[in-house]
Order: sequence, then structure tokens, then C-alpha cells
Amino acid sequence: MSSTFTGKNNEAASVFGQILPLIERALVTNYRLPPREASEVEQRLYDWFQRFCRRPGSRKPESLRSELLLMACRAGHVYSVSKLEDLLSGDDRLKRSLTLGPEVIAIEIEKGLDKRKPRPPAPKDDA
Amino acid sequence: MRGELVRFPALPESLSVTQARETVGRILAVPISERAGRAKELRLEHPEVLLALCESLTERIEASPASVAEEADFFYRFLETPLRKIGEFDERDYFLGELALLAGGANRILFRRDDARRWFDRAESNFVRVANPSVHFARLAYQRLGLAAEERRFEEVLELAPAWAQSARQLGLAEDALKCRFLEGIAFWETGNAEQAIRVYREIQGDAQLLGIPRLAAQAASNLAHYYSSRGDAEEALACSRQALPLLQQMGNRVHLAKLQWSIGDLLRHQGKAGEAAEAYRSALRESEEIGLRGDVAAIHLVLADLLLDAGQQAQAEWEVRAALPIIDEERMVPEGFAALTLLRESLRRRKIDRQALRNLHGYFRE
Repeated sequence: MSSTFTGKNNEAASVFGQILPLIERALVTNYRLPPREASEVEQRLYDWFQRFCRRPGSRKPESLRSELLLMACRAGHVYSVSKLEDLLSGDDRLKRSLTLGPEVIAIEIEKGLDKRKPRPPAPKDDA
Repeated sequence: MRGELVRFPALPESLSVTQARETVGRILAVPISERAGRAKELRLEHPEVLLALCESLTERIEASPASVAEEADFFYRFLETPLRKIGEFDERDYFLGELALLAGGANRILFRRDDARRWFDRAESNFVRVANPSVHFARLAYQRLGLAAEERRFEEVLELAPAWAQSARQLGLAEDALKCRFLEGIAFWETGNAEQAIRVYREIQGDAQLLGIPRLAAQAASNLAHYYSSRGDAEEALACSRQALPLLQQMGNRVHLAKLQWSIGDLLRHQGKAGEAAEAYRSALRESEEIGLRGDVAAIHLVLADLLLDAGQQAQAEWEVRAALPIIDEERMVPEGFAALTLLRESLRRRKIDRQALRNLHGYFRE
């Protein structure tokens, strides 16, 4: 990852690391991004998230994971819509993801996470 | 079209927070007229630089609102047209919203209310597209409430400020919650509920100290100094001034320093020290002129006129009123005080200043 992190950004990086498997699943499984494109989007999401956490009024990064997942799904959605003509035929899962929209998909994925495993302990706020 | 043809633009060069802040320092040293032509060299489109820029303008807004208004205006227009790719995902919208909010806030401080309103509308039109928008809507709501207070729509402020303070607290915006309570305190004071106003400011002062926000603690002390001084309670007013002064000086908060000097002038006047009061008012006047607070400049001229009339100096008082009236006209500042303005102007023509009109008019400016 390219950005230089200090202080509060370490916490953002840690939260991103925890959510990364879900982001990857969303991009690759729900939105059918090829692995190389998925990696690029993940890099951009990482850069975005560490700045997003420093906007005025932002809560602690740990409590911004829904916003991160939503942005990941939006990115996947935009990517997939751009390929719609080629890919839509015969792919019911993708068709469903695009029809329901990124907001619903992000919530579904987050609910799945809550059912599967307990959340990792919140990192210390060293901001 | 196949998936592998969808390409993303290259990542911007990585910058640390410190490097971004240094870059902002270099950008602000370049005259505005030269910046767009040197956009690449100055990294004007780099999201890390823009984040540091917004932080820097926020820190300076109370010390130098005119320059913040000018800078925010430049960067907003630079990012807006032509359509530039800025950062990732919602970052272009976010920076446009943030810069518009800064420009609006600075214009509000400068009494340019119509400009402020337009900037707040621009901020809203951009914030609506960003992630987690409720936080920014709450920040925007505070600015709009500030405008309502300045336009003396106190009923509206008393209804909405507690509700927005509650929303801000729930969103984790402790500082914005306290700022909404500031406006509630002003509305109480202006509607004649002095005890309520003082209670609110005492609570703000305590909460700001607890939360470690010295800027708000100092501003609360400054307002308390004004209120106590207006009630003739010299001891409390001086105690609050002593609490506020070093903090405001330390933070370079010139807007509130000027207001504090104004309060000290009121206090000295209550104590019958007309000469020293005039000195304090003139000092507040100079500071307000330098910062560009034209509303305060007009009001202090009127207060000085009132003081000079007390001292039987009719000619000098007229001069002060004549200095204030063009500013009030130019800035179309007090449509609510039109009757008082007309009476004052008429009395000036008759060379006998209408004291009640004078007092009514300067009351419109004081928060």
C-alpha cells in the first residue's frame, strides 16, 4: 500500500485489514471483478479510507467499517455496470447484485460477517 | 466491451501528512493569480494536499476570515471547472463541499450574508453525494443557525439549536454540539433571558474544558464577559475577561479578541471611565477593520458615537455616525433595523442625533 501512515491512520489501516477479505469477496464474487482489477480497487479504497477517517467529524475508524464496505460495493457496482452488456447474460448472482444496488449488498455482507465470527477487539485510539 | 479494457487512472504520488502540510504552505505563498497555471507543480489536485489545505483554512478562519474566504473560493472554483478527477470515489464532492462550507463560514463572519447563504447551498449540493453525509449536514446546520442568529431570527434558533446540538452529540460531533449551544445562549440573551444565557455559557465553558477544546472555553468566557459587563457586574466581567484574554491571544483568535476588547470598553463605560472605554472601543475598531469585520466596525462607530454624546461631544459623535452609515448601506446589513436607520439618518440631517435610534441600531449588530 502506497500511503504513509501516522497516528490515527494506523487504526484506519488496521480496520481496513480486518475488512479486506469481505471487500475482496464483494468485488470478486458479487461484482465479478477480475483479481487484478479487484486489487487495484482495493488499493484505491485503502487510500480513500485513510483520508476518509481524517475528515472533520469522522468517528473512530472501527465504527466506519459500514461506510468502507458500502464504498467497496459502490466501486464494484460502477465497475460491473460498465461491463454490463457482456456479463449480464446468464449470471444470476451478478444480475441480483446490480438490481438490489450497493447499499443492500453491503448490508447483506456485513450481516453475514456478524453471524460468522465475533469482532476482533477494537484497536487503541492513538490519535 | 470487456472487463480488462476498463482501466483506472494512475495513482497520485504518495505524500505523507507532513509533506502535504508543507506543500500547502508553499501553495499559499504563491499569489492566487499564478496558481492555476502551476497546478501540477504545486500539486493542487492531490487529495492529501487538499485535506491538509482544508485543515489549515479551518484553523485560520477566526484569525483571518477574509483570506480564508478568498482561498476557499479559489480552490472551489479550481476543483469545480473543468471537471477534474480528484482523489478517489467521493473525494471530489467532499472537497467541494468542505471548501464551500469554509467559504460560507468565512463570509458569515464577514457579514456577507447573501454570499454565505449561496456557499452553504453549494456545500449541501456536494455533501449530498459523499459517504456519511449526516455528519456534514449537521456541520452545515450549525452554520445556517449561525446565520439565523445574526439575522435575529431568535425564535428559530431557540427551536432548532437544541435539536441540532442533540443530533451533533449523537453523531459524535461534541464540538459542533457545543457550538449549537453557543447560538442558543445568544438567542436567550437577545430575547431578554439573561439568566438562561449566562447558565448556558457557564455550561459550555465547563463542557469545553472537560472535552479539551480551549478555543470554545475562551469564546464562552469572552461572551460571559460581555454579558456580565452589560449587566454592570464588573467583578464577574473582569474575571471572565482574564480567563479569555490569554487563551484568545495564544490562539490568534482575532475575531473574538476584537469582541473582547469591545466588551472591556462596555465595562469601563459602566464604571464611568469614558476615556478608557473610548480607547478600548478604538482598539476593537482597529482590530475589526484589519480583519475585515465590517459589521462590527459599523457597530463600534455607533457605540463610540453614543459614548461621545454622553460626554457632550456632539460633533465627534456625528463623525462616528457618518463613518458607520456608508458601511451599513453598502453591505445592506440591517434590513430588520431599517426604521432605526431612517430615524438616525434623519436626526443626523437635523444635527441632533436620535439616541434611541442610535442604540436600537447598534443593538442589531451585537451577537
